[in-house]
Amino acid sequence: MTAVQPEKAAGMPSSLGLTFKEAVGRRRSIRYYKPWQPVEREKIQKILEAARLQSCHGNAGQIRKAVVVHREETDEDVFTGLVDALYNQPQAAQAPVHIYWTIDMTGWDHLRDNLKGLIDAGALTSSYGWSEQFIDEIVLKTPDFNVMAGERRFAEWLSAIETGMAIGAALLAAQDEGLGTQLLTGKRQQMAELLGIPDTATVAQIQLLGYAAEGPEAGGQRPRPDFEELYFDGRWGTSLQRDPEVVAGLIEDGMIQEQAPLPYRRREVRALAAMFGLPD
Amino acid sequence: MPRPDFVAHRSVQRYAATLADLTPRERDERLDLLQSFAEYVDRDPDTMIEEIFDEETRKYRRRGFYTGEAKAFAASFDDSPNAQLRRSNVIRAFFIANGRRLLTERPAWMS
Repeated sequence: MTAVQPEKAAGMPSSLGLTFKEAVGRRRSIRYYKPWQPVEREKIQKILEAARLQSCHGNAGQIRKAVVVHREETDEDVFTGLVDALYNQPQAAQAPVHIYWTIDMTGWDHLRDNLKGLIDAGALTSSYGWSEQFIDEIVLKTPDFNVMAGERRFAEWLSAIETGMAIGAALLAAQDEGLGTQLLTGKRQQMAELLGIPDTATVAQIQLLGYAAEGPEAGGQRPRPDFEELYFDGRWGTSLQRDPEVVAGLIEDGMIQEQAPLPYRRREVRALAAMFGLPD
Repeated sequence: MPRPDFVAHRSVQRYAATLADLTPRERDERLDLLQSFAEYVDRDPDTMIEEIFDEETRKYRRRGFYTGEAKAFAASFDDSPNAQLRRSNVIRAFFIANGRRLLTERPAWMS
């Protein structure tokens, strides 16, 4: 068991001094990486630990597995094949580390043990009706909870969401470690063959890791749909109103930042293209 | 300076629109180079865009050809590898502006 110092357990800034709001606000999909600067192994581990600790339905964390590929330690043909599977996007060749996130449906096989583990840990309590017998006789026979007992499509959707949450944590952890990161998709079967991923697992997203060659603003915060368009108040279609004072506070805290494109972005992209020998 | 009839091509107009942040001289250098490439492959620019990709099959038809020609054209200037790459990338950028992609080359330092 790992000992955690209580004073470091909550609310402390990261090693870079980022608060949670700053990590969210500064995160960008980085598309230019310094190929010459390796990523420290401890940083990769921290990112994976953040993903491992993320919430998961039924505590079935075994559904979300990943293969970490270090460019410098990988057979050249294999790495070239992976870059090809990522449609030869230049950033895939630049990033020194790739994490191939997968959804492994066999992870649900551990559902019973994982739930039992939550009872033993005091997370699922008898006050709420949890017992080993309840797991066996009710939960495992209820498709809304034991997703593998019901419609396969829903099981796959839920598995994707659970994996996505882990990946989301990994993105923020990468930001917290001062790394550039981005998610890509590509030719899943080709990646699976190159990495020996079994048929039970589906390659979901590929997370690139490396030190950003572009500025930390990466051209500014990306445009997003309006708050009111996304969130509803009590009933679908009734927009939840955004409080301007909250927005002002988030700007002050660094979560909401200047929106892209920053005025110099075009020049930055041309300079990056020249450095990497890319068309601009 | 590129000829007006060359710049009038739809595909060149699309490419030129991506050069708005450059100085007139930089812009003309790139359009001149593209015009020379069109002469090199003996095709007008709109034809290049039409023939590289087969709309019916949704597959590239002549990507290898244009990638090779862009490289050969750039090499014909007898410059440094970096300068050659910069030239072939002007051709790539023209295709990109028209929704098509040539295969990329990596600079020597990335290999």
